[in-house]
Formats: sequence, structure tokens, C-alpha cells
Amino acid sequence: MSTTSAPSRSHAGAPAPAQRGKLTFGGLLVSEWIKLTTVRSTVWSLAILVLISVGLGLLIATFLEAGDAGAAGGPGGPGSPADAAAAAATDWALTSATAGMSMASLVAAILGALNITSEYSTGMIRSSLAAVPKRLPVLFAKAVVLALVTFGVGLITLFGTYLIVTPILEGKGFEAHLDDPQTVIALIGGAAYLAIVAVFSLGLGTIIRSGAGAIAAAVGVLLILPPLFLLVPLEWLHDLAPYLLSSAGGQMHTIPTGSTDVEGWVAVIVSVAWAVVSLVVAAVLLKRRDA
Amino acid sequence: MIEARSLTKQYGDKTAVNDVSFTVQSGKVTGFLGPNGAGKSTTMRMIVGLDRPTSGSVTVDGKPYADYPAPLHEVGVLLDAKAVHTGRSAYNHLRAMAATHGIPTSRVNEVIEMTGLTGVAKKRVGGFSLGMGQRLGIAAALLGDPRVLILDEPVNGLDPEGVLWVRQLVRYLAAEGRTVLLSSHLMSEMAQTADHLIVLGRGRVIADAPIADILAGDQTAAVQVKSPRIDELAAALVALGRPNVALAPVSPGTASVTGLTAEIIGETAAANGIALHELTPTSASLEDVFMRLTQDEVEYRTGVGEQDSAPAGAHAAAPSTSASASAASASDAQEATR
Repeated sequence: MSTTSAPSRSHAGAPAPAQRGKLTFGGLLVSEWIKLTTVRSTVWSLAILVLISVGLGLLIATFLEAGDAGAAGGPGGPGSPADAAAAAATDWALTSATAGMSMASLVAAILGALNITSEYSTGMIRSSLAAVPKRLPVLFAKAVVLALVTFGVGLITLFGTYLIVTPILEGKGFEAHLDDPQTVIALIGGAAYLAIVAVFSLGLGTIIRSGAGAIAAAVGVLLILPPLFLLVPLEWLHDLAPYLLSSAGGQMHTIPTGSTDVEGWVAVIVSVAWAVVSLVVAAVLLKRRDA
Repeated sequence: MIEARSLTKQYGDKTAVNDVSFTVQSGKVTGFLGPNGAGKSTTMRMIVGLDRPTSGSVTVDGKPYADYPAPLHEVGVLLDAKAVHTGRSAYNHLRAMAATHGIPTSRVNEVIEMTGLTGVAKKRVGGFSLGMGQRLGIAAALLGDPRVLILDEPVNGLDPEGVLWVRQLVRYLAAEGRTVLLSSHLMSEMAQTADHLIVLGRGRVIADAPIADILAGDQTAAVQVKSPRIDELAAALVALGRPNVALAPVSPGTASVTGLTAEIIGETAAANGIALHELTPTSASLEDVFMRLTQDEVEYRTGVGEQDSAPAGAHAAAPSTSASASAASASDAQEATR
């Protein structure tokens, strides 16, 4: 801290007119991109997300044996000719590639929550909101950047894992179908689900304003609600279970087998709705509360 | 120019800022003075829209801050030194702030050099000293080369060189015709920096006048009196019925009297048979003025004796010391504590 070099030498300096800028949403996107990429927690989170996906994919591909396929494949259980056919048709490379999705979605949730709660815990939020007194553009820029980054990393990770496990599985006689549009849609759906979870969690973080609280809430919604809905002996709760974020999101990265509870496009809408509702509540509170 | 009109902010039951109106003129350094909890920071936060006023309004050059298309070019604000993500470097923090308004990186480098942060710009802010944090906060405030600067306690934690630099900087910016609002609890600092003072106490404007007027208005010397029977003396002095008499406790048994000369006090003491241990005329510093302006009844009572009714009476004639100290606020403050 010895670098206080002659501060009186240069004053504020008359501004060159060219330096005059304007507050724009594009500028906010750049700002949020800089913010996201210049803290270590982002690098760590994304590295963990990639490691989990690739690691679990490799684990499954390595230890999967031809005999296991039938047992794990069809929902109707092994034995019937229809199931054998279904098992053969199952894209095990896709199963491997998306094996880490549940944990990866938790990492996305942490990334999304920290994106705003770290601003609250450090006081940065006051700098952010003083520069953008209308406030909401900050939240929306965060959501856009977070969604794009999570989607991008998710997409590369999922397709990457798929390509890594394909030769291993093909060596054991399994088939991989990357030329199947349904497989491609499932991989893209997985990446989109990660983006949705990150934005949902960004909303939670804005609402709760504490990292620990927001992450706990996200874990609750993603991991604790689904078994809870099925354990409680209430029929209507069981009916609602498929509309939970992790249930609907889970469908986005699997190929429909015909026995799914809601249709594919419904699952997408339901997942997006979770993120939108969270973000809208966050926006109302952000606008209303003192920073 | 910053104009506040009947600005009020309540947090639950507590009123942090109570019906505050003032104008901060451009081309001057205006000092915002007041003890902790007087509402300085809250008022500053309301100017830039971080806190929403419970009632009243505040405008910057005629418009609410939020209505400006380029807020950073309008107002530069230092609210607290560490409103910065501790995991990010100073350079990246400024770059992120600049990006919102499309301010080029060259300007970021400029403010880094200007604030003497060049050597630590790439280091993470978490390891910064308070002084370095202040410099970064000032750098962020200057980023948009704003027409209005709001600096909350900018010299807090700065080394003497930094203090001098801030003083020169704000004087220079005001000389350029910009509006500078500066808060401090260092009265001596204000005396050397500010042209105009707005004194806040318990959420109200106590005084709003040129600094010279505030000092001049108080040059009617104060007299420090020490006596084992200070309460009786206080009663006797008030009983004289002179205008503008005020007593402020200095320590138990000692009070500072304004509005009366040492001769009158001495003679009054003698007439009442009260022994004096000290009778010292003192010339007022800004600090004294500040203390007197922000004095309130509660502090007074605990100093001189609660059972005595005379001190309260003395206070009724109290702090109309400065040229424009608001008599209304003074009497309202008493209402509040009764």
C-alpha cells in the first residue's frame, strides 16, 4: 500500500467529449459479463460443473456392462420382448452424458444465487444500483448473461461428454445416436435446464439477499420437494409432483419413453415458468426495497 | 445543484431524516456536518435513489437522479469505501462500472492514475486498506466525470497526503463549476475545505449557512466555568433574563456559557456566594460551534443535573448562535425530547 504516487499532480481532468457515454442495456450486459468472469467463484463453479458431468458420464460408461442395459432400460421392467427392444434403442451415451445433471443443476443454482448475493454481502450492490438507479435492468442483464454462460458451458459439456463416452460404449456393443434429433434435443434441453435453474436461483438470491439462504432454498426446491411430494400421502400432491422444477427439468434432457407424466413442451413451459416467477418476484422486491 | 424538499425517511419507528430541505449550490464545496446517526448518509443515499424517501423529494439539477439517461455522468457518488466486491480487482471493478455507460478503458486507467492506485489496481479489493478502499471509491465516483459529486466521509482512513489531495481535488472540481457535497465528522477538515455548511442533527437541518457566517456568528465568546455548585450558578445566570444565553456541559461541574461575558458570570457568582474554580473566556472553533449546534437536551441534562428545572429553562433560550440556525428546529427538537 505504498503506491500513493503524487495524487495532487493530476486533477479530475476536463473530460474529452468522446468519453461521454450513455447507460444502455448492451453496456449492462458487458458490465455483467465482466463481473461474472472476474471473480473466482464463477471459474470454480463452472469447473466443478464440467468435472461432475464428464466424471459421472465416464464412470457410467466405464462400468456399464451389456447385461445391465435391460434391467436399467425400460420402465416396464426386464423380460418382455418390447422391453428388450426398448433397451436396445436406449441411447446409453445420452444417459451417461446426462448422469451428472442433478448435481450440475445444483452447481448452476449456486452460481446463480452467488451472482447477486455476493453483491449484497460485499456492498457492491450499492455501486451497481447507484449506476443504474432504475434497478431492474441490472437484474435482467444478470439473468441474460447468467443464462447464456450456463447454457453455453452446459451445451459444450453435454455434447463433449456425449462424444467422450460414445467410443467407450460402442466398444461394448452399445449404440449411440447423435444423428437422432431427439438425442440432440435432449442434450440442448439439458443445457437449457441448467440456464433455467441458474436464473431461478438468481431470483431466489435477489429475494433472500443471503448466499446461504438462497442456496438452501434452491436445494430445497430442487432436491427436497420432489421426494416430499411423493411421500406425503395426498393424491393432489402426487399429481403436482411432475410440475416441480427438477421433475419438469429432468424431462428436458431425456428422450420421452411414452410413459412420462407431462408432455415435453409442457415440461419446458413449466421449467421456464419457475424461472420467470422467481425473477418477477425478485424484480418487484428489488424495485421496492432500499438498497 | 441538489435540491431536497421536505425529505423524510423512516425506518420502522425510527425517523432517520425528518423533513429536511436544503439546496446544494454548484461551484461550491458544501459540507454536510453532523454527529453519527444525524442522517447524513441516509440523505445522500436518497439523493441517488438507493433509499426511497418516506415523503418529500430530492432532485439533481432539476430532475430526479433516476431520470437521467447517463446517471454516472450526472452524479459521482462515494457512499462507503467498500461498496465493492472483495474478490474482484480494483481495475476490473472500475471496468465493470465503466462498461454500463460505455466509458472507455482509457478513462478507467485515468482515474486509477489520478487516485494513486496504479500499483494495486490488479490486486483484489479484499486486501485493500481503508485508505486504498477510499481511493477506489473516489476513483469510481470520478469515472463518469460527473457534474455533481457526493462524497460520504471521503477522508476517512486516508493518510495526510490523501487528505490534502481530496481537499485540493474537491476545491478544484467546485472551481470548475461542479456541485460538491461532502460529509465529514472532522470539523477542522470542513473549515479548510467547505464554502458552505449544512449541519444535521437528529435528522433535521440545524444550520445552513456559509461557513464564514457560522464561525462569525459564534465569535461571541464562550466562557468556560467550573464550580462545585454549577447547577445553582446555571439557575442564577438564567435568572438574569439576558437573551441568547446558553449553557453546555463540558464535564461534571464544568459548563461552557455563551451569551454572557466573564465579568457578568463572575459578578453573578459573587452576588450569589457561589465559589468559582475556573472562569475562562474561550474563542469558538468550528468544532465548538458544531458541538453546540448538535447539542441536545438529553445530553445537557445528564451533564448538569436532572432535578434542576433551571437548565431546561436556560436551554429554551439556546442555540440561536449562528446567523441562520433555525429557531424552529431547535424548539422542535426540544418538543421531541420532552
